[in-house]
Amino acid sequence: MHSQFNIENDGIAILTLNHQSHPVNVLDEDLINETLEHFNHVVSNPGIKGLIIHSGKSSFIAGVDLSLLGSIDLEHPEKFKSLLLKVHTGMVALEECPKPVVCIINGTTLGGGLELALCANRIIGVEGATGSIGFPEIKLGMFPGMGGSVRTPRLIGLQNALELIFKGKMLNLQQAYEIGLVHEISNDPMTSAKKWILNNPSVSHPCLDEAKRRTLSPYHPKSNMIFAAASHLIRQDTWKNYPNAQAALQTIYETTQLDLRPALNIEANYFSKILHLPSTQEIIKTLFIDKKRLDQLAHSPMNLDKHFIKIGVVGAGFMGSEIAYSALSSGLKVALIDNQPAQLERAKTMISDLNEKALKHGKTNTKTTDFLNSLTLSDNYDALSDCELVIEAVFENRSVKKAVLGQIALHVSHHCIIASNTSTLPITSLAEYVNNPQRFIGIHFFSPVHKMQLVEMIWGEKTNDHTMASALLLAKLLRKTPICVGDGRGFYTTRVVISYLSEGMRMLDEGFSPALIEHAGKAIGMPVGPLSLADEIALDLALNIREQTIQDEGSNWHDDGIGSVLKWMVTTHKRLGRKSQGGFYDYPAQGAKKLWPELSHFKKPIHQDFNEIKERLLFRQLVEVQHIINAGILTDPAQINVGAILGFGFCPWSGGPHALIKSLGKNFIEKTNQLATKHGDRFKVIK
Amino acid sequence: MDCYIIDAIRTPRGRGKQGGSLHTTTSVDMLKQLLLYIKSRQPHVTSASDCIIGCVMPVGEQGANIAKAALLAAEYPYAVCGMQINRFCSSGLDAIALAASKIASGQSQLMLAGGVESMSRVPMLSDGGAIMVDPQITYSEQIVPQGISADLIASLNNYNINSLNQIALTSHQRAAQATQTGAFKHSIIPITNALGQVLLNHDENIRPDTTLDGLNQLKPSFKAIGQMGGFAQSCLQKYPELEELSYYHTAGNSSALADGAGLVFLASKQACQTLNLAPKARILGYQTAALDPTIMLTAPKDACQALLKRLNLSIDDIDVIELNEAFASVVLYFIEHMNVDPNRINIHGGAIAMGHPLGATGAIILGTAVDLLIERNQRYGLVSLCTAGGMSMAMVIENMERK
Repeated sequence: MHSQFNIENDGIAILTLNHQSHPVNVLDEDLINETLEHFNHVVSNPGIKGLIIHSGKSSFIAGVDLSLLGSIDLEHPEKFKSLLLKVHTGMVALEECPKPVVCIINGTTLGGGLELALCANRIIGVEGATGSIGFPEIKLGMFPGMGGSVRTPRLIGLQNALELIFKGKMLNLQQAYEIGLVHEISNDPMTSAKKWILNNPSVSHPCLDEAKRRTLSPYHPKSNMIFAAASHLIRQDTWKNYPNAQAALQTIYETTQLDLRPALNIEANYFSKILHLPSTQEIIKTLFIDKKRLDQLAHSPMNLDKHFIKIGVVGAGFMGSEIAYSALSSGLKVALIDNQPAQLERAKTMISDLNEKALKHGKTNTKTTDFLNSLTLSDNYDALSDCELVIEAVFENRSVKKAVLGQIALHVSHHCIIASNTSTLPITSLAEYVNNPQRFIGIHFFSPVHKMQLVEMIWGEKTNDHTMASALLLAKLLRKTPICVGDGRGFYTTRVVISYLSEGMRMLDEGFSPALIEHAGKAIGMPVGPLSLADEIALDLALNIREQTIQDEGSNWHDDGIGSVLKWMVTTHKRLGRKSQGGFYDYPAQGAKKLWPELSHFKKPIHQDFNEIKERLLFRQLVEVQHIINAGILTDPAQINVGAILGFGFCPWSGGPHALIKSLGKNFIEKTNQLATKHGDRFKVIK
Repeated sequence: MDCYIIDAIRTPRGRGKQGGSLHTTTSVDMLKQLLLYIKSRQPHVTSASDCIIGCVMPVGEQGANIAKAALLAAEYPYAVCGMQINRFCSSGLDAIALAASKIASGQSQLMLAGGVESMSRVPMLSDGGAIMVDPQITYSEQIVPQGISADLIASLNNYNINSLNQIALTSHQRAAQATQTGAFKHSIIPITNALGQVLLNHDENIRPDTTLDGLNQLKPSFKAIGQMGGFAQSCLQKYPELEELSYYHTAGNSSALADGAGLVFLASKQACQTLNLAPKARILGYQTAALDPTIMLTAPKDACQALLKRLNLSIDDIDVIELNEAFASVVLYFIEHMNVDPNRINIHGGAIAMGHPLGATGAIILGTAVDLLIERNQRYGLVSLCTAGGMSMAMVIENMERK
């Protein structure tokens, strides 16, 4: 039994959801069936005056058990549809019944959990509850399919519903209250709920209000322009790569023209269809099933029970401050070291601002003053003496890193783990700068740390299992998803990103239109075009890394074809990227960035084939991933897929590069051979 | 084609908004007054078998077959049938083409055809329609508002604002000149109220005092909707060579909203002979064409080229071209890609100056072409309009009064 159902003396039934086998409530088939039975009981038992649904856990419902959605019979979507219709029958019966139903939400209420709540007549939030309320489905290849796409517009209007469903926007309790998703916030929710039920003995559910529903129809003047624009607003972000977004909009378009019951049937058709697409299953596998396994450290080289109390961060720049903030907000003590006191002050301000922001958005309850009590700012390495792990985040320069790592090694205890946040320098080479290198590891955080979920853990040649397992535990504590990558230039993510950037710059040099190149990057599903990304990273940095690589590789160096573009930009024109207000783009003080008109310098009269540009940008990355696999740097499909999507936003529609290579099958080698013949050996998969 | 234009009349074009002189006249009444007038000039119209009317917003008072409604209001014999059709902006010309086909195929001897639109009374988008909002169409095919398409054409072809505004200026100057010299006086039927007082007897949107400077100062009309509605970004996904959409079209170089109607009386050769009707012109043929619905407005070139080829004519054989001035970029595109002398296009101005009452315009500009050929004693006229959905329509006529 995952729920308790009690009828109290006043005739009000109380349904307490308390899943026995999960730390939070998730809707699996058992809990759904129990709930529907209770609903049926409420409808048919004349002794019951009303129903209160609440959670026996510290949050409401985290959503539908996605392992249920990830293990379906791909050949038979109609089976899944009949399961949905059973749920709808039970929920609609409850809505049609005039007995008042109140749902109390006391924290996280996501996906199917929110959809369940929507069939109540009234939703009461528990004052002070944290946790998100919303529909994360769109980012998992799906859309709300248990009535959410039908009920949400009817309850909070089209505009708000579209934001929730298509942006996957997460609300805090106050925001949910402001848009009318939550009707009341109470510090004594059970009393409030009972009082409301007794005051409203017979109610009609707002989703059954057909007059109101008609104003949502695409052909009602109030909604016509919203629908006309919605397709384009969604398309401008998705480039038609996401069948779930299209199906969600089609569902809303059709169901706002129908009564509740037939509307739910339409939603069930589109949802079942989308759920059963192989591409949807790949996304669910990567972003839910695999990611969860990695979050639980299933890939850790050893079981380890270790509790971090204090860590050290050396280098109080942007990255160091972000790492410190992330550790502080997970309850750790942090020593932040920098040799410039002014830099430490700036870091303190930045960390305080980040916490204030989190407070404002209801993401934390910790006051900034309490928060700062756990932070030690110092220019003296002695402050690191009681740290269990120290990470350096200083300037990406070998001699600076060498000096800092030497200092760290001198001041920490002998069992303290030492880590570098480098994104490019091989870890094995840095390990030489500390004594006992088996405790040295690469921990590559992504910027901005508080938003980016991925952390890349790099094995040095001598890094031992205990060190890796400890670093993984730290990532878990910081609520990050870690992947474990072998050592090598650029490790995994940086290396693939460089292949993307280089192909873009190379095509510019070949004479392709920069607008086409940039649009092609977005068209394949990358978050930004290659030239934009190069500007963000900075072109002088790219040039430096490239020159360092040429030096290090010696006779192994293969020309990447971007030397002349980079030198023309950096050396001839001093355009370094966004940081210098000019790179491939101009960055006017007012308005959006624009491609630098002088890039026409590269234009040549060649056939400008958009599809060819798209293919080159996509396959160059896939080939690089295959090389990384073949070199043994990273071979686990789960880590390859999760790492690429979370680390650099690689085409989420695909479920990740490994999933895409797999689904291409034989075509992958055929295509790469074709591209290699036409454009060079960098497209050839090296065994 | 065995089909002759016996007469072509129209209402003046009123400003298509509240305060426009025809705003208080119902759409049915506009058509009724044309039906009554043509009956007085051409008594045989009451023997027409059918009356086909183009109308783009066929809802409300324009709904449920406005053709038959107006015939009944004008007390035509019951035997005259009515039908309403819609191909967006070319509806009026399509109604005439359809009627001509009935005659040419021997199914009818006499036909009425034309179009009507009161944009002030039945505003654009009143009729809903899946093509604007159903995601399976709009998401996949990037259906954008016409103004965005017009700006897309200008952006892709690197038009500058000055040359677009020059088109608009010319339209006003020519329309003012034509009005002043009475070029329209045989075709414009003044519209009256219930007391018989004249509400409007000329195209009221023309601004003879328009200047290039004034036009250059107008703000773009479609920027806000292009940005906020996502239209600008989504149409670039079809035209990725363009970094961004630029906004050129303003209230000054786009066609004006208008109220109006046009009506044409058609007959077969046999009917002309037996009833002793004097044809003004002959319809030689017509042609539709369609292409990408996102860029939408460039298809007149394709329709005209196909039609001219089929008729074994060259564009240089055409004396008078009436191309609907939906937007200045549409005209500029046509001039450039058809390689025609701008002085042979829209000689009496166009919809930028006089307005574009959607369903009526095709019939109105066909009438203008007939009048121009007769006035100039020239031979061939070409009429074409672009429409929503990427379609277009073109028709070639020959002057029968040429001496």
